[in-house]
Amino acid sequence: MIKKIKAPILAVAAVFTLTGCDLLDVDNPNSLVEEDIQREAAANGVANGSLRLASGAIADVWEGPAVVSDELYWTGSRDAWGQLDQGFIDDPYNEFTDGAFPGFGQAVWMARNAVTILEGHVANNPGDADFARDLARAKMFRGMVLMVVGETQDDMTFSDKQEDGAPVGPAGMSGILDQAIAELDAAVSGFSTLGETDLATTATAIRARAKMSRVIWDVLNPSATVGTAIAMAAARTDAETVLASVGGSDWKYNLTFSAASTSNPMGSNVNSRGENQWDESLVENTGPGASGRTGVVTLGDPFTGGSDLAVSAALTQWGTGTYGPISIATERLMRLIVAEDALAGGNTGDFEAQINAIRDLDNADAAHDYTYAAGNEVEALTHHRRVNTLFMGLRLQDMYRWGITLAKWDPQSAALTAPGTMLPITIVECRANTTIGEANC
Amino acid sequence: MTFTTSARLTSGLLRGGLVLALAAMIGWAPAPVAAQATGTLVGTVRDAASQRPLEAVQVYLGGTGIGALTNAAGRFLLLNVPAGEATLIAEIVGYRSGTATVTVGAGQSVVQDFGLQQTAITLDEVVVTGAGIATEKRKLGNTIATLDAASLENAPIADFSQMIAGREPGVVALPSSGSTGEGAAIRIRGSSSLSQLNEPIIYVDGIRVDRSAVSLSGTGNPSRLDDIPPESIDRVEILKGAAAATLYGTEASNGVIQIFTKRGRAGAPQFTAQADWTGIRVPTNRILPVADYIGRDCSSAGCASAADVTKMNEYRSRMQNRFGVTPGDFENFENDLVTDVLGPGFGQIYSASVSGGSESFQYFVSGRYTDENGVITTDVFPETDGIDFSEDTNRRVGFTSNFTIIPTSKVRIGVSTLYSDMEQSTPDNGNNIYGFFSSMLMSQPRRATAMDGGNYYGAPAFGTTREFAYQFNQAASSHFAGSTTIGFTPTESFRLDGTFGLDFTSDDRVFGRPYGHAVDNFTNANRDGDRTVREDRSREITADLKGSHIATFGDNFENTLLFGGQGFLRQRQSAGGGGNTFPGPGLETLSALANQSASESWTRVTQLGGYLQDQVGINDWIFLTVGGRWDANSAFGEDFATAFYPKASASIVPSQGLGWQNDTFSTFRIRAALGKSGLQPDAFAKFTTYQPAPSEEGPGVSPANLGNNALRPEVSTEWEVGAELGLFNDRWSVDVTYWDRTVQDAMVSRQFSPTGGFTQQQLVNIGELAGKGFEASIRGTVLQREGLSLNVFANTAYLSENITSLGGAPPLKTGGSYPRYRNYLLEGYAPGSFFGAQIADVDVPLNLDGSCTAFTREAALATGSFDVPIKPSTFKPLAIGNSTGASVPNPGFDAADGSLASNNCGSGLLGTLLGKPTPDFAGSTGFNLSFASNFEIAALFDYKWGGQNQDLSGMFRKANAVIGRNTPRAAELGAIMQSPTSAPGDRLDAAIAWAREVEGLSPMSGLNGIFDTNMVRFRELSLTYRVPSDLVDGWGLSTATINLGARNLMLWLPGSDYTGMDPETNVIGRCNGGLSCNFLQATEGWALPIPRRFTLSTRVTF
Repeated sequence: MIKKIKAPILAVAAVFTLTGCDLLDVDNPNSLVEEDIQREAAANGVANGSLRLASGAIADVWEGPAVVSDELYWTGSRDAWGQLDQGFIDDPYNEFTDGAFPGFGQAVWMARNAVTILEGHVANNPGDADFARDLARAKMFRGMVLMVVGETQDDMTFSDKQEDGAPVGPAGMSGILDQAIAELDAAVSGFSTLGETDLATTATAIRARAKMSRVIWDVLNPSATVGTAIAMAAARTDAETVLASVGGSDWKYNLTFSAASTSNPMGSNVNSRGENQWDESLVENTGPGASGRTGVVTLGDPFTGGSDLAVSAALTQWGTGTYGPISIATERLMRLIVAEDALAGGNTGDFEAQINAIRDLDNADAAHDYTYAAGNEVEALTHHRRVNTLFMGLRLQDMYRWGITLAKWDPQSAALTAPGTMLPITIVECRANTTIGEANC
Repeated sequence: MTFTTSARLTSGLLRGGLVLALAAMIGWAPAPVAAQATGTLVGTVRDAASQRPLEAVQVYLGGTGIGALTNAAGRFLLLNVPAGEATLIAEIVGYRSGTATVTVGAGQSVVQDFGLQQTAITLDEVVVTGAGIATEKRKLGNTIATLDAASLENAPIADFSQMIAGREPGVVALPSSGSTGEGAAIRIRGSSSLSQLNEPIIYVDGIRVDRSAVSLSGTGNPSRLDDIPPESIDRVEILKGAAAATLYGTEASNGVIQIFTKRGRAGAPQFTAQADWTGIRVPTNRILPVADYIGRDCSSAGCASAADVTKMNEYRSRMQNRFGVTPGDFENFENDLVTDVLGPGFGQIYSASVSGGSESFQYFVSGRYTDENGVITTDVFPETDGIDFSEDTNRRVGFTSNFTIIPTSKVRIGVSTLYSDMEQSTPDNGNNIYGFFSSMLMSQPRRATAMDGGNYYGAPAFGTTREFAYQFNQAASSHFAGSTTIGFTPTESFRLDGTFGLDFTSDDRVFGRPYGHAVDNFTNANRDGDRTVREDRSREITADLKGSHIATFGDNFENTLLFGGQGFLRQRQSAGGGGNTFPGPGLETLSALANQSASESWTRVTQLGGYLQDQVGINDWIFLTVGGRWDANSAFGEDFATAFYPKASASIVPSQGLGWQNDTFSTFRIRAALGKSGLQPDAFAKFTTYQPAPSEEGPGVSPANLGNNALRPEVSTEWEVGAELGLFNDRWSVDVTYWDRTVQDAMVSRQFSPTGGFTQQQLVNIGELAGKGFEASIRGTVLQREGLSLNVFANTAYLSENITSLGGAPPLKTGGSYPRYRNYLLEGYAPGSFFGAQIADVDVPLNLDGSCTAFTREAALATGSFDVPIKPSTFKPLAIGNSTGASVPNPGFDAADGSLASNNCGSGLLGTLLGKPTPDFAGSTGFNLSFASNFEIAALFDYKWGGQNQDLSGMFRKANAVIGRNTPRAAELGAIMQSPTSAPGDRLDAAIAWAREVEGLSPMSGLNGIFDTNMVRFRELSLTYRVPSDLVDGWGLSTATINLGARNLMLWLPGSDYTGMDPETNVIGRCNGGLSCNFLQATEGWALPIPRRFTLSTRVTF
């Protein structure tokens, strides 16, 4: 009997012994492990991954401030958009800013990780142009995403996997913009060395924006102590460099979206779901369920009386689907930077020329050119900056610095009671980050 | 004829019965007796009270190997009965044995009928699940529930989900919604995992089968378990927890359900045919009408602006055209228009089976066809050429077969197959802005137009109901399960069994909108159409080898040794694509889309395990069992050490061993069990991974899984003690069990800092979850006399759960950042507890100046805020807060002492404990009345007591500024506040009522939406008529029954303030695991209420 019992036990043991190891070692074809992405063959994918995450995150994180501002307003089912519409931008529990934060944080981390990995490849392969190009791209993407952090966040953390990073603190956010500029310096240098003039122009344009944002940050945070203030002229220099290359072409550096990569969250929310719509001061939404796709421009051009051509152009770029691009840097923005610096310097001729150069991009005829006159320069600047930077993540800061308020803002909202307030570190980070905790959010 | 209780049977008879029972289970029948002077015994076995024929009764001659099972007509036939006097015995679980002394003459045919009396206690019932081999219940120290399908054949059940609902204490079937084809989630003793699927593992005829839901968009998700035709099920065995399920190892801590399908019996073919016709109707009594008023949209003081006047006139004109009314300004209007799209549904089921065979070969083959057309109707809408409305249908075809081959007396081979094919179609539904039913609930009558006006039901956003009627969710699924079991019995005491099988499922799911669906020119959602296709394939392979050896030592000791090994391989493949924008009408393939994307995934999990168990029986009334299971699993990689799960149990039957019995206390057993089992994560959960992330500049990668190299299974340790008491000669039984469970190393889906790069939550073994409860049931016979009997039963299960540790992880919330789902995992609270805002208990709960100070009524009026019309959005309610210091375990949430530290100006606004989703008590009660010999009435009531439910759809309908504020109360209060003619005091009163009853959603998530809920549901009622046998015989039939059944007849909510449509519905439907799946079971959101179903069925056997 013992023999009879032994046999099946031995059989079971044999199954374990002979097959156990192989059966338990299951390959995973769905994803890569850590060592895979450190390989040189993955270099381009790492840089592209950084771009992909930055694209989605920036489009996502910009929607909240756009709803707070006069770019979008809430028309859907989810009240947290309504909170933003009323100017409550500082609520860490807001589902949309909270929902956008993880992707934003991930994009920041991936941007740094990509630079680190590619720096290793470049160090191991000096002279390899492909690695150098990918590294310059990675630095440009990192500079770009750090720039957006500095523009849209009131505070930020920088963690690494399970190592929690402490909040930079509101005063430290200018340093983030400084880091962005430093990364973009490296990108410009890298592209220039490689002879990639178009990419160098792009990186320079982004740097111009970053420098301008650094200037604005100082305006909105006058008591800030971190970093060294940047002169407006520095931004102007970059802008002029860009204009020298692409002036007159209505050049844009856009983050683009498609079914092959990812969709634009703002486009999806506005064009498909109808959760938010273009502000009625810009576009009248016609039809029972229409949104921007069938809208009619309502904003008038202060100098022609007609509907604003730049809004029309922006509406065209926005498109009707969920894959409309968003602009990071444009010729229009470069000219606005030059114009604002010219105005600040009292060079009204240059200011007028830059404004008209922008208007020319929309085929405004000469009869409708802007003519400088004492007292109209503020309207000229604020109007043209508004309509030529639509959905570029800059409007709310501009409203703050120019003291523009909205009737839709609740008297108790941060937008009204504390101008300059941007997005907080949200509850998902507060809870997960041991250096913060929910009670301190 | 004499009767003896099972307790009085001699141990020899018990052993004989057991042997015969075992023989019956394996389909074994003794060899023919050698030729001698013989006769024949025939007869019918019936329920003594109801006279219902009893099928599958073991009828045998004592001391011989001659026996047979009764057929559907209760008849038996024993051939080759030796001439002379003999004792004939009839036995079946649930009845007291019948014995009769018969004298058979050579060549004679003797008739001997039995009328068996029901017994309420079933300790001699033979089970196999968890025991490893066929074992009487009385030998097991743990709980094992059994459902005898024969006892449910007249119940109004259409699928497996309905079959198990309300039968056993501690076993809960959650129906989720009234959508056609919706399967039920199953929970046994609550939740034993915080992160993994809390469904029990399912075996059919010895092999693991897919227990997943077929995931559609929203609710209406069919359950794989409903692929199994109820008519093919012989019995179901349920292991309720870790103590019982240890031998099933990793994955078994949520319990085990094993389904045994029917087997053939030797004899002539026996056919059964059944037809069911069901009418379906959704109860509308809890669906609040939609309400509205003219003037709601005013933006000017007193609605005096030209734009407001124009808008009000436009809406007045619309209402005149649509409803034939011309409401005045701020005059409320109500309409029950939601019921327009809830028509009668109809279902039909046809099934047939045949069984029979010889002594060496038996078969059972069945087939079933079901077709259900649900309650959603689009009849009100005119059709549009070229596109079709989505159907609301479910169709299934199923076949099962069982073959038993007995080539020699020592070898038995069983082959079982199941094949099911299903097609399901539903409109978009659930918590979905494009949902067909939800769009009706969003209706705002002032916006409604005539049909050709483009907004027949007054949609405020997203699209019209007619446009959504074109959006479809379709599934085409196939399911095959096949197994082979080989039993080898070299000696009487030694047995080997091997079971090998494959469970294969294939789901093709399609979601989308056709080109041109924007027929009302309203919706902007992919107006040129979209389509998403997913194809999932799942394979689950089972290999199970086990052996048992029974040894006796003297007359007093019996030792049963069990050993075995198992291997499981589960592989899932998924591929799909999607996109939008068809170039024109008529195209319905992905390749026609302008924007396309694709996805593919593949996972495999292998599990290898072995077990060893030994049971010692002392004097046949004391049974001690010890055992253990070893498991290895690929989810942890090849380097992972084997997990070990031990068990021990004891069962003592003093009424048998110590003679503690009399006519009043006839049976008494006590039992105790202690055991462990585990739960594993999904494949690859421990590894740090990066996923494809294509960019516009080329292929890319992005972080995916953070990884945890130390990941291991979570382990449930459970002990239970219990007793069974048989009263009044076992006519009544009482069964009580107390259990206590601790889940250690509980896997928590911890959110690490998102700025650390990995936004997905990572499983870590840092949690501890405690649970305890008791289960009690009583059943018995109130009346039992010729032609009349009344049996009653009642059961209850108490459940208490607590997260004793989250290991320092931050609180986890269902739905991520979606604030309306309020269920949290929080240390110190029941899993899934509701937290949210609660209105301050002050006279004027309004935050009038932003300082969070409570105003007196006089002071509130003195602000002047109510002197002019106000909109609900312009004032803020005053809510209590629970801001606690950082040093407490859950800062921002309720303090342990319940103290409130701030109002809504502080943190913790959303941290007030508002309840928990699992009720304290759940159970059922019912009766079975037999009368006039051929009639039976059976009823079942379900209840849940002591929990809370969230009425999410009601919160939207009450409070949402865009798509809601259309309940009668919201419209009433809104009109008062906005009307220029209202007095300031009336506006203030309305504002206070608004804050206390209506206000909710962001930033007051949870406010006025979570309620105490007690529920009693009249679940089943059936009236059965058995056509008398003399009539049936004349028709050439064995039996014929006609049955009228009803399900979900009534719903009562005693002592509840719940406002929702149906507390049994929820936002997730049947689902496949994860935080939301596990803990959103009590959050109602836009789902169809559970419908009433009225069924006429006929069944014949011949």
